[in-house]
Amino acid sequence: MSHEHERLVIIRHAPYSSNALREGLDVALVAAAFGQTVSLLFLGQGVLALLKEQAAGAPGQKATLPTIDMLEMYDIDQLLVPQSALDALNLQAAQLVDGATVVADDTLPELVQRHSYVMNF
Amino acid sequence: MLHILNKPPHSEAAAQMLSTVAEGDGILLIEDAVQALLHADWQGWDAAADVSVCVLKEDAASRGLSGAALNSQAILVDMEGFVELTEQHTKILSWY
Repeated sequence: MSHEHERLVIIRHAPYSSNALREGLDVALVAAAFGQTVSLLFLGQGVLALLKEQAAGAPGQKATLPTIDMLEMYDIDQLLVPQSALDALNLQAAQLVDGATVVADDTLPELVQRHSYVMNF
Repeated sequence: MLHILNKPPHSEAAAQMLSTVAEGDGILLIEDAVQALLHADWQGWDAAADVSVCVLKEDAASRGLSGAALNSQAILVDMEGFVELTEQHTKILSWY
């Protein structure tokens, strides 16, 4: 499978901590809406965006999970999580949304390398 | 791929960067990342085969690390060198 013109968006920030997560997801959705193939890589705190039990928080706070659920409708089905990111947060793969795929850490350099466009959030 | 790091060498951003560095990549340390000059055993100095690690001279100087820079294995670049690095690499990834 060629990834020559595919985009990789790296998500590294937790929900509610800053606008970074929302901006990263917006970029992914916009690119996908324009017909681009987009993969998402969740590193560090970014993994928290994939917890499937996320519910509505304080009034006025926009929840993340609806956006994550929307990704599939935009054909964004690569939600990649390195095993070490799960381990660092004491999480199990079963706690993540169904679309998430756990990958081995040693695949990351090649993953980043083969995408022509990589954006970091 | 040129990786630009502006967070300290043992920060989460640095660890995330190191997990993605591939053979032949370049690393440029700016702002707080120049503290890596104080850590000769920092993993980034030998992140992968054929990876050159550059340090922005101005940021090392402003943080009192010019001496450490001269004694390190880092390649010192000035702002002009920074621009040249961005020309040499087709892809650039900032870790912040």
